[in-house]
Amino acid sequence: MAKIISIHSFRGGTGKSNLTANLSASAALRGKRVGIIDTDIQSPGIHVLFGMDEEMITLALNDYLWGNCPIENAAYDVTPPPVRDAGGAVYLIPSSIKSGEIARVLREGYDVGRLVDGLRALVTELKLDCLFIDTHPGLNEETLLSMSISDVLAVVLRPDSQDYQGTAVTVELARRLEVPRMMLVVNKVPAAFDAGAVREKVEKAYGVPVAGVLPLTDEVVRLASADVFCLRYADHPLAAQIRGIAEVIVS
Amino acid sequence: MSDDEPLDADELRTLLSLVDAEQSRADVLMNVVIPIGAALAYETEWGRLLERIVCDAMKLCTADGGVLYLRDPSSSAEARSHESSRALTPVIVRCDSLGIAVGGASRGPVAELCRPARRGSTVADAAMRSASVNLPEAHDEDTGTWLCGEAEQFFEVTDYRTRSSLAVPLRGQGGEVIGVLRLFNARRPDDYEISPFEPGMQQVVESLCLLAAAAVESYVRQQRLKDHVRELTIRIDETRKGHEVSAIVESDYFKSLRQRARALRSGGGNGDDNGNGST
Repeated sequence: MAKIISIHSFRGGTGKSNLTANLSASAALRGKRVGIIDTDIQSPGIHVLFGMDEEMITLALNDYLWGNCPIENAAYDVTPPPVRDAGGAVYLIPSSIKSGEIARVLREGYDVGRLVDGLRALVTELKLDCLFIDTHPGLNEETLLSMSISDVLAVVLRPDSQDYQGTAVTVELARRLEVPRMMLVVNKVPAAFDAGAVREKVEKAYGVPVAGVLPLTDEVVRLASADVFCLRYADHPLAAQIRGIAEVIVS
Repeated sequence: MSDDEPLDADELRTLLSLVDAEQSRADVLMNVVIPIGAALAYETEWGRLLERIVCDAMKLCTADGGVLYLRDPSSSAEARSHESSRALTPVIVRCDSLGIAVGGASRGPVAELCRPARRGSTVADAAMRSASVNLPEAHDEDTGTWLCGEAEQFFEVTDYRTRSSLAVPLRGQGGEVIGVLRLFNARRPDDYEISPFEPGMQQVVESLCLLAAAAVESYVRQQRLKDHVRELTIRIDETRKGHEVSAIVESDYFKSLRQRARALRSGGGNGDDNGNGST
């Protein structure tokens, strides 16, 4: 049965979308058929990591939510060559980047129930092994919905005071929604910080296992979302850490 | 010698010798000191870092011994700039001919062999003036007095006769002296006789000390950051969290969402009652 994984963070700027792309690619490198749905309709961005631009996106998640098309018609095969060679596949369902359509969503909203139905249809139509949901940061009905239907929830935070309180609320809500598996990923950690000490502090504060403590890395900053880091820098220690987290998620 | 007159054979030999010496110094800097500096920068263990500074410097000069003095690395730059020279504490002592290797990764009783630098000693002098102190002879044989306090103290403990002594300050990024490296009894490479520290070799050691100071400061900076994260406090206002969670979980939307999630997980289909809604 396909696994649904939500990648969430309370605040923006934690590296959630970048991490989602990397975890998805890493899972697909294990020969899995992986779907990624960008539910951050207000500020979509994960498509950039897979080299997609506005011209290439003819149908998006927005079109499905407004009843214009079946959801699988808004899915794009973005399988990178190394993943294809490994027998895996990556399908991306992007959100529209047209400002008019974003404004329409903000103005009119959408049927979240239809979103849930769409996720199920995606899994079936594309024969997915796992589906990653890249959520909008913060707590709203859509993010709570994503959590409620997920088998795994990964909450991303930085070692930053602005992230702590909101992450605590998110973790508690996830517990109340009885998410089967929950983990934390501490991202953008300054290299001089002791990873073991960070892990210990965070696990103690939240009572949730930390799947990874990922260092702030120059190569990631320089890459600037132009590609999927784990594929571009496959031998980098950070890529190995992310593959480790992906293995924990899909196992 | 005027610029117009050709050099005689002796002058030419002297000039060529100087050129050779400069070339040799440049080679040492390029091929020995810079790689040592790079290696120091990557050293991750404090004791080994300090040992390498002393041992590599000794090898460069073929010195019989060396002592590294450091100010307390945990004190601020401002504090260090106002502290007396007594704050320069020996942390590594090496003397090959006596088989002494204490401090750093080797551990052992440094304090029994060397005292902290005292006012008027060569180490204190080097620190105060932020300049090297090069003594061709640490002991005045004619008057029987020691010109180097550290050498005298070492003699009292070990009967070791220091002849040549070179104390070079380690200057931090801001220019303040964070330590002093004192080498003693340089030996001629050909016959291993004790000799003064040549000016060219002093410059090489000074270059090494620049890199060593950078490595020490970098290490201390990293440790401070790590200490900071060990003291990192994740503050969560549990009362506020409780209010925020309650406000959400007591909403009709959340209640129906939870019901729906349970139904989905139990394979009960959509669980769709009032769970549908618009964002």
